[in-house]
Amino acid sequence: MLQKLKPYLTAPVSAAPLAVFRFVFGGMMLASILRFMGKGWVTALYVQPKVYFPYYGFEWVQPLGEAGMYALFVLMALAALGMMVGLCYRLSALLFFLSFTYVELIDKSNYLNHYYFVSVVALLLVLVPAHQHFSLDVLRKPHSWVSQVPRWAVLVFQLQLGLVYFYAGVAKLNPDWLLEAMPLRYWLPAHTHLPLIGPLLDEVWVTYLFCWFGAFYDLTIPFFLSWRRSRLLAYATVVVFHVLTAVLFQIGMFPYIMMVSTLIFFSANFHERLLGWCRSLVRVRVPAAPVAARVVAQPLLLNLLVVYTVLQVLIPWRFVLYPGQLFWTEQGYRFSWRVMLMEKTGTAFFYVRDPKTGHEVEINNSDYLTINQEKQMATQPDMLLQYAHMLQQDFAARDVPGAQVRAEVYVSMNGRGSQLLIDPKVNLAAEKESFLPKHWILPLEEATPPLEAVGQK
Amino acid sequence: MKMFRNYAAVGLVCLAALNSCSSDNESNGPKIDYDRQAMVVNYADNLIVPAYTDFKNKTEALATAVDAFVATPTVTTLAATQTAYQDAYKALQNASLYEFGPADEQLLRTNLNIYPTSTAKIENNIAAGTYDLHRSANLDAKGFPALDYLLYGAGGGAAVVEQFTSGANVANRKKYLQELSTLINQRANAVYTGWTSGDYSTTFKNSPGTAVGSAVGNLVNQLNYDIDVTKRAKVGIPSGRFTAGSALPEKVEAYYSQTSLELLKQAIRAEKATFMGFAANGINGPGLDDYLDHVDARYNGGLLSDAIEAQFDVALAAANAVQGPLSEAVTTQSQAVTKVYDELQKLIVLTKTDMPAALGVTISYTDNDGD
Repeated sequence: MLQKLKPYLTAPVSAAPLAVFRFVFGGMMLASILRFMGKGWVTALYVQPKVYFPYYGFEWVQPLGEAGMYALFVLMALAALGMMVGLCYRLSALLFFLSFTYVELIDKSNYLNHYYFVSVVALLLVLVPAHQHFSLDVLRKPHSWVSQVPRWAVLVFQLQLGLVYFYAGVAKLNPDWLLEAMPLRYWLPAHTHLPLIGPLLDEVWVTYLFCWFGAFYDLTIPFFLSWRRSRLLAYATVVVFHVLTAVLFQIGMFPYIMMVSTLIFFSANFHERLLGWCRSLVRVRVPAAPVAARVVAQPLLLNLLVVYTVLQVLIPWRFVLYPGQLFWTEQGYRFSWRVMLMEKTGTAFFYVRDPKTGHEVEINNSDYLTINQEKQMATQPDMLLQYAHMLQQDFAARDVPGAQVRAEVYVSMNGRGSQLLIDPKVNLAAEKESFLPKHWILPLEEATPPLEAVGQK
Repeated sequence: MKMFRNYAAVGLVCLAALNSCSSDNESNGPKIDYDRQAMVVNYADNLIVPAYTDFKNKTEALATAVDAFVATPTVTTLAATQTAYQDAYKALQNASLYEFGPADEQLLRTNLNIYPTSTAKIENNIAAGTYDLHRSANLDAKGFPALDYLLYGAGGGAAVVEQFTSGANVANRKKYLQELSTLINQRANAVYTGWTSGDYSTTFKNSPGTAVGSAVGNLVNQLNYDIDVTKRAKVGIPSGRFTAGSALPEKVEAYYSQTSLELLKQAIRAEKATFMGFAANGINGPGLDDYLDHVDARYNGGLLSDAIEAQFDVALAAANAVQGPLSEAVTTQSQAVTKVYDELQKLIVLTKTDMPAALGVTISYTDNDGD
């Protein structure tokens, strides 16, 4: 199969789309990092918290202290700049991928699909010869200039973007979204003060329109962007869609990153004209004869990318291996492009029992967690477990070894009344994290059970 | 770029066209029209500003009563001061749940109501005669809990009067009492001014949406914070829930005057009034409950707003069932106190989980990206 595809995948195509992508993606990253630092989030998210929620298997990823974190972000910003202008490109891309991913792995409270997107695109950028066209590296070493790159180097980004949209669309094909218009039914009326579209957002039919159009858009946009004849209109839809999401939801840079990233679907001609125009500004000329990039270890890279793509396709489906409703248990929820699908709010009460005295105390979560961490922890079982372990360790350090930890956690999801998320009797401190199903997650009941305070024992 | 802008403009124009058509359409199902702006105005003009006006007046009366007591310390002037103190403390329960804007600048809860108060620090300050009540080390030596100690700590009225007539450091004690009441009044005035002659009322009314820093976001978050404090500090900590073992009676609010229970009930009443948009003049105006009905938020087959209102009443009834001072009840009527605690817990689940979800309010105080 791959053998048959190989000539197609390795055929030389214009290097311009890849160069433009490198430039705009690097620029967006630079802007995002500066914005992140400017808003004081480095301190708020990676210096001030007392504890962190690392990912399973990545517990060794720890914050580096105030000076260390700022140094890491400065390095990340420089690497993004290097990526953008194509200076020491491979090193820049690698450093950017490593520093960005490291920061994301520190605390899953900060998990966002768009950070995951940045990480995977950065990884892919390390692998492609995006710096041999329209870059400072080429200015330094003119002989490294190419006008063509193998097709896979462009295709892999189109594929990745297409997957993001398509899976975001697949995720919308659920009863809450399509039949109940949840969570948009709760989210849109908050914006009726907006000019022009404001009054519409209170209308139920508008909410349904948003839901159905959103699902249709996500499922089809990769194809409409790929097809030459629909491309312009499709791109206009991309702009309108993302501008709307930027206005309606607090999602930072993501809409803009998507708006510029999807330019990679445009024709080589479009990108060449764009670069030609830029070159004319700085009066740089390029050789007339085309040169194709020679990629070292191309067969190996191709095989790796096939494996990568298969993984990307399969990972969002891993949830079928777990029992229960995905949105409720969140087992296999992350890394699957499930964006803006849930209004999930929780309140968690933790109780710690000293096994020696039998006394149980309630925990004031804000003694340990930031508001954001508490909010995230209260709806995600794996974080509840991590927090229980932190509490046990903290009590052990205060001479209460082997403390038992229970949690009474109420969660409201997509308009359902709040109900217990996990078994309040289970000693979480004795439960281990693993990829196996968590038996202590309670099933989602469609009818709200009556509210009972389990309370202390 | 021009092309993109054109497309964006076309898109918006299309939406605007849709908008103008929509008025001809029949709306889907029964829908209550809801004017969020009217709700926010109701909160500002009929709840918040009256609450701070009342608080400012009561703290003024308190300062005046303290001055009279200090000038002629008798059982009568003491009784007048104690009444003024209780009135002002109750007024604080109505005012402290709006801790955003001016009240946040003044850190009203922190500066006026850290308990248990440190009697050692108070006595040390009085003995020394020099101290800085703006230092954070003195947070638990000032505010209402410190007044509570000075006005009731000696036991009966005669004993208190004696402290202010013939006890040690009489002059310093008088000065300390006066400074406490003056500082409280200053904070109250600052918040009142911020809302009235300052421009915060306008700022509040013009912060639409439900995002962080919006009027609705602030209201919901601070209401929840207040209910959490009510549950944890007023009931939980004294009944020993956060420390292994027995109750800690001396950790109740207003320990010396034994008015904790009344303050607790007042806090729950104030929280309920805020949820309902119940104006100070007794009119049930547009509030969060109506907003919940507008988005048709449901709970257990009924309206979420009804469930929350009922739970406020259950919590209040549970508090009413507790007899005598809370400091005694935490040991003698632990069942009744546990009941209050459990009902407040259920209330928090509804107000902190179901309500913000339905309103699209983020439980957060920092502006953060989501996805």
